[in-house]
Amino acid sequence: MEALIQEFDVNLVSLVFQLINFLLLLYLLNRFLFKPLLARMDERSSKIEKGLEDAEAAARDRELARAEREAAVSEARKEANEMIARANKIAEDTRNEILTEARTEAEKVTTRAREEIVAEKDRAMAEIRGQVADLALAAAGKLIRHEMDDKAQKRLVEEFLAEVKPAGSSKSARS
Amino acid sequence: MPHFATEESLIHVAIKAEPLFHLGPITVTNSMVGTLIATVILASLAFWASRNSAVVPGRFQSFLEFPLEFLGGIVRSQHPTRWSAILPPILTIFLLVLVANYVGLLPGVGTIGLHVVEDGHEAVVPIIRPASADLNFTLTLALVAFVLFVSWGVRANGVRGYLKETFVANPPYMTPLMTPIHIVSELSRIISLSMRLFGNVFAGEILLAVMLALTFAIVPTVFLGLEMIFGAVQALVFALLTLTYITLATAGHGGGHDEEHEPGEHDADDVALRAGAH
Repeated sequence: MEALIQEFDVNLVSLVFQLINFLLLLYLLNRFLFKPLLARMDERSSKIEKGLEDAEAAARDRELARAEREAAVSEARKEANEMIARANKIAEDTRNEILTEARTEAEKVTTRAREEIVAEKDRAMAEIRGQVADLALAAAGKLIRHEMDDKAQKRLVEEFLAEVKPAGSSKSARS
Repeated sequence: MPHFATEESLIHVAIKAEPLFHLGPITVTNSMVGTLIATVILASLAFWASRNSAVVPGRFQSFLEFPLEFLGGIVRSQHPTRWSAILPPILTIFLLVLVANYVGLLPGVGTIGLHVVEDGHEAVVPIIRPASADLNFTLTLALVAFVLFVSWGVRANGVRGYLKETFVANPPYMTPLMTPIHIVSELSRIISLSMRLFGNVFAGEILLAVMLALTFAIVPTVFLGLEMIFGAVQALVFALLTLTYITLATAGHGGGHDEEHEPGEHDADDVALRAGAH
């Protein structure tokens, strides 16, 4: 053992020097190399982790926004369709209403016109009847060339008119 | 001091670090210079990292982060609750051994030296000797590792628990047989750790020196590349074995400490035991 130590020159000075050197280096490396680099590495891994999480959250948000947008678009489309349908229905209703009204109005106008025509005809008939009586009187007076009292005249006219009336009424009905 | 000096070339191989000069009572050896160079390189890297590290890493920062990420992941998986205290010494051991090994591969290391005359021989004492080719360096690291795993064992199981784990076998009647073996195995870890690293790097140095003397051009380059792999592997082996010993110490050796166990730790124990058996 002694010889071995002698041969390898193991001595206290060298051992102490190496020990001090090692401890000094341990301190220096730990303080200036390991701690800063390990801190950086930890920081890096946490940052990468956070970045990945953020990316995932962003993707999720994007997906959500897309779904929302699609929902909004489909909602708007549905609403527009509804609106068009409603507008169509209103237009149809209005048209029908106007038509009905127009038809009613036209009917009313026609009826009134018909009534007026009938009344006018009746009046004209009455008027004509009066004139015809006078004319007949004048004609008859001229024809028989004799005077007649008013009483006889009247009776004659009445008789005439009574004969004329059915013929006149049948004539007016034909027109 | 053994010398392998031939007539044509000076292959200078010394198994121990050689003194360069005396600083009062302290003898400064060439391996101390190598240690200091490794320390300065690492300290300047640390200084750079403390000033220029950013959340988005550049190429150099990614390069520096690689060992942290790698060893950090291993330590974290084995010690989910204690990793932040265990990681710095493991990483420091790894980086120091790695850089110390690589210092030996720099041009001029081991070849540029002072001319001295010793015992009538003319010899060149290299100014820089890779730290890992000095048993003092590897032994110190092994002792640090020993202190680490014993202290973690005490911290995890308490003083009584640790002593019981170490000195009382399971079943107890096996104690007289098992305890000496156990003590020897614990202590031999110091020797195996220090000798493995020393042997590998020292052998590598000799190999390079011999190849450089015997051959030319491309052949030493191949061995230089091999030494780069060995340097990294040895640094990793040292760090991972230290971690394994800590894991074994904190997990306990037998039953009776189940409240300390996490479900995943049993698997880690098995792996660690197998790795530790080599």
